[in-house]
Amino acid sequence: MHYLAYIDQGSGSLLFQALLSGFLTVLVFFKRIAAWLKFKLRLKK
Amino acid sequence: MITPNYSSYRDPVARVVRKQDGWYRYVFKTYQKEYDYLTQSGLYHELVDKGLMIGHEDVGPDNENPDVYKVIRPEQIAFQSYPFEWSYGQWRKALIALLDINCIALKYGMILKDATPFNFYITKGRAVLLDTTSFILFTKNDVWAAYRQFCEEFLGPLALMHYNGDQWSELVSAYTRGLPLTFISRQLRRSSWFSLTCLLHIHLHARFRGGSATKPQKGFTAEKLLSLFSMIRSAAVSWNEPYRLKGAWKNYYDGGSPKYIIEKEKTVIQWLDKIKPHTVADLGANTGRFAFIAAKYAEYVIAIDKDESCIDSIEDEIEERSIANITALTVDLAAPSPACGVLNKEYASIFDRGRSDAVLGLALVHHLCIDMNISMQLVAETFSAFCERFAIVEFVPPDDERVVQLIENLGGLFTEYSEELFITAFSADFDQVEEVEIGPGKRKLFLFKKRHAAAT
Repeated sequence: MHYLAYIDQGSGSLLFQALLSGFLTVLVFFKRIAAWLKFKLRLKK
Repeated sequence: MITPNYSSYRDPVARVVRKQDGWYRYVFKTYQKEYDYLTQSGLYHELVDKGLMIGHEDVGPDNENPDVYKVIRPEQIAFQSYPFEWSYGQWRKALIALLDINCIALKYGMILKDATPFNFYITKGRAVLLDTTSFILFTKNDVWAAYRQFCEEFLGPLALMHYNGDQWSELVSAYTRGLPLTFISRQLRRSSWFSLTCLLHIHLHARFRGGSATKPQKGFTAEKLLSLFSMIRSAAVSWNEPYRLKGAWKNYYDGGSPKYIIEKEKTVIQWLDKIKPHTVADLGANTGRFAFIAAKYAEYVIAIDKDESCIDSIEDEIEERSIANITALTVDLAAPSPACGVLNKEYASIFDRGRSDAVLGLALVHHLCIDMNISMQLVAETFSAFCERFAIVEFVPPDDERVVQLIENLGGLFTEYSEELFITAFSADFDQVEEVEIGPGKRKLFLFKKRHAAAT
């Protein structure tokens, strides 16, 4: 039997944060590339 | 054993206690490590210097309570408005302040463990964090404990105000612990699905409803959290306007005769100077013209109006002029903020918080009587409930073009509005001190003194 009232609503949020973390990994990766490119371009100038 | 104030019972590491000389926060030994880190790392000073967090004075240990590590006395607040009384601009400032605080805290290795707008108060046009014991140490790959609370209590209501209308914030008085994400997601307009912030933190997040209680291995690094906060902050900054459902009051005084406005200002100034109130409640403050005048004669003014765009306009001026003694809040006098929360004692009613030495009610009575259909007797009772000593009330005669227009809107059937009724109703609790006719329209200003008021 699955008792809905006993499910911790916060645990779904924890799981979602794990997925969000994966999404942010990609975002941070591209941010780092953008920052590196900006740095290189500034050096050339 | 420390008996907490009803609004601080949830915090396991501290208690807020009201003593005769003001509010104190008792920090427990269980929070010693975090408290010392907060105050000694430089985080506390940076946040206080930037006006993001309330400052406090360290009173020392409490010898009577072995569980208490420190007693602190925060700067005392003259008036606290609740989030369901905030305008859109105030909500937005509070959300941005929370994100800024988190970004600064992360630099020092800390993060907020709570993300409720009830932890903020609005002063000088800024949102300031009240809860000194909200910080915890952040460890790499931790989840953000307050993430769901942030989405339900902060981001969700703001998104609803932005996409659906600024009146949606009033729901927060019914859901003081946050609106359920599924509810927010269902109510938000379809265009919100095109916002990455709404899509991720509300719509997709709402689809994760519990399941395994085991903590996931993968959380956030500080860099990821900074990206997350910066993404939400950008969205909040771009949401510069709410979806306005109304806002007819902002230009209320634009069409008025200059003579009427000048005479009205002159009389109000003269009376404020005479009665010298400590605090003033300006009911139906509109864009705050008279609240700003009252702020020169009183220690503190609360400006109340039901139109959020008017409150935003007052708030902009408070911020621009950095005025510290006015708080603007959205309250509908036909449905004033009730006491709510646990035992109805967690959040005080507007009458308990807003009772003032003097009450201003300018060009308001006819709207309450005719628009809102509140009897003159109840209007006078409303003034009495806010008033400690004096009330300055404007009466607009029944043949005034604005009143005629309002009555015509009701099919011309409204009859319970006259100066005689007005004076009789106010005489129940007040003595009339002065009466002045202002402007060409024969409007009148009355200065009333509350009958039980102490001699001045």
